[in-house]
Amino acid sequence: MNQYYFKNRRQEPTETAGASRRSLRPVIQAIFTGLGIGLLAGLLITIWSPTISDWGYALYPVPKVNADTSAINSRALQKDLQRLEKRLAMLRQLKRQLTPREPYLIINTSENLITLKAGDKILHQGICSTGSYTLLKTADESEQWIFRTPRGRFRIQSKIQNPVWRMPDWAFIEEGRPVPPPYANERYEPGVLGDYALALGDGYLIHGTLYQRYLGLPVTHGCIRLADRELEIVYKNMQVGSKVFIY
Amino acid sequence: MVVGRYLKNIMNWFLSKLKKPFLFLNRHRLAPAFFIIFSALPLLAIFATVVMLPLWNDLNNNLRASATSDMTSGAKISSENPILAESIQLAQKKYQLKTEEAFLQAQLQMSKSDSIGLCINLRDSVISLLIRGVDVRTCKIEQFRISHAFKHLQASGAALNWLSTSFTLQRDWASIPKAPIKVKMAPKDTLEANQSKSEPYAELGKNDVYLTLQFDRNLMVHIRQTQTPSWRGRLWKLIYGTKFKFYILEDRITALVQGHLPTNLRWIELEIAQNDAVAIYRAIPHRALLALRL
Repeated sequence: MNQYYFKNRRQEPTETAGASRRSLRPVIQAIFTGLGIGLLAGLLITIWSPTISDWGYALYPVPKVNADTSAINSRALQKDLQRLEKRLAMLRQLKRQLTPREPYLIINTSENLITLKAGDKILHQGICSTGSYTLLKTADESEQWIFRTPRGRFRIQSKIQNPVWRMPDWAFIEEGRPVPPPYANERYEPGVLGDYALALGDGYLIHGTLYQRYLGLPVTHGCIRLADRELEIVYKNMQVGSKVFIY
Repeated sequence: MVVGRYLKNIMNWFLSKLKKPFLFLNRHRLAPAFFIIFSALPLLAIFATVVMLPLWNDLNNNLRASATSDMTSGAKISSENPILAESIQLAQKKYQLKTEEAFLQAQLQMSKSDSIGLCINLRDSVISLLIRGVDVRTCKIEQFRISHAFKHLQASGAALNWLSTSFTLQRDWASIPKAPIKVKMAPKDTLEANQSKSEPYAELGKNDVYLTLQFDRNLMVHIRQTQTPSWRGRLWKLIYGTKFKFYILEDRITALVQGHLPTNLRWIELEIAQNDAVAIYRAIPHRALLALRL
């Protein structure tokens, strides 16, 4: 009898706890599922927050001007306007002065085009070839060269007639030839740069080419190649110190 | 009829699958209430901190700026009193001139820098590349859309200060590479060099172009091409869009972790020709400057 009683007493509370845990399980599930869904929705709100904020700006009324409009003094305003107009004329003049009046060259490297201008007037337009964006690496990757045309504003450093190309190391490496000493005769190659060359500094030149069929394509090692006719026009119009804009 | 029944069956199957994970809601009378409360809590907390509070903050800042501004701003006001109407017209003209002055000042400031700059003039619908103040390329903006935040900014008069100095590029995303670099290994000898010689092909500029430029002072410029994208282009757009969305998520979470409110972006969406978009993206440096006229 006693045994039976104690056995039952021991079992009873365990069963009640289990039952209450079982009965609370849907609530716990509801809490965690709710939190998960809420956080997921919050994540989506965060991702789309710029658009949602913009709806907020659209819905919020634009405030009426809170400056006291009745206090606007017409005469004072007109004086202000005159002063402003003068200042603006001066600023416009300063902006205009930035564009050179003498001939200058604009080189578009993404479409391989040149435009020769003086002030706002276009003197000549044509095609060219610019840097190929090739990254040349030696077999052991100890040395590498990138063939791109630099961007920005440059000035013509010098003008050369019948230029001779002094081949740099990469020219030999690219052709699989052994690199000769710095001043070896085989480094000098006449006739490949056309009739004229205009130096931009750092070894970059505007020159002619033997490969006329590649004009309009990005194939060079960083220099700007022009067709013979274009090269002559550019050479005649541009002086030492003339500006070259490359973008 | 048969098709209708078939569709109905599919719908019922789908709904039963959808209901299955949520069956616990019927097993306890308090479960739905807990579910609603615990899903709404994080949602509201996130909505408040990521959207509402930054919005409230920005609108309040605009109001403060309008209270201290001596400008009558660009807001449209009408008056039946002819004298007052004339004064208001003059004030609005002054505002227009001030915006032009701010734009010119930003351009002149940019001209002092050696790098290539960008100039967006929404009034004339043009976007141009500037080098040392010289317009090297001017492109037509076919269409544009601006954030509603600008209306509030302009109405408060705070836009003048915001526009009077040039913006600096902070980050960019694009569906095309910045520089189309091709890697070439040096040949071992002349024979290998001759074998590897090939005809140069036209540049990879044919990809569809979508780009986003993030500038300082919360300015975001989205540029997309006018041409209809190809299927490949659509895929690139999706990848690029996802990358951008992840950035937004990262930026918001970082701001919250660091204990400050995320800032609202003022965005501009421009539609320009594909070749213009390529030229602009390839030309601008990593810390490019921008002058903007609204």
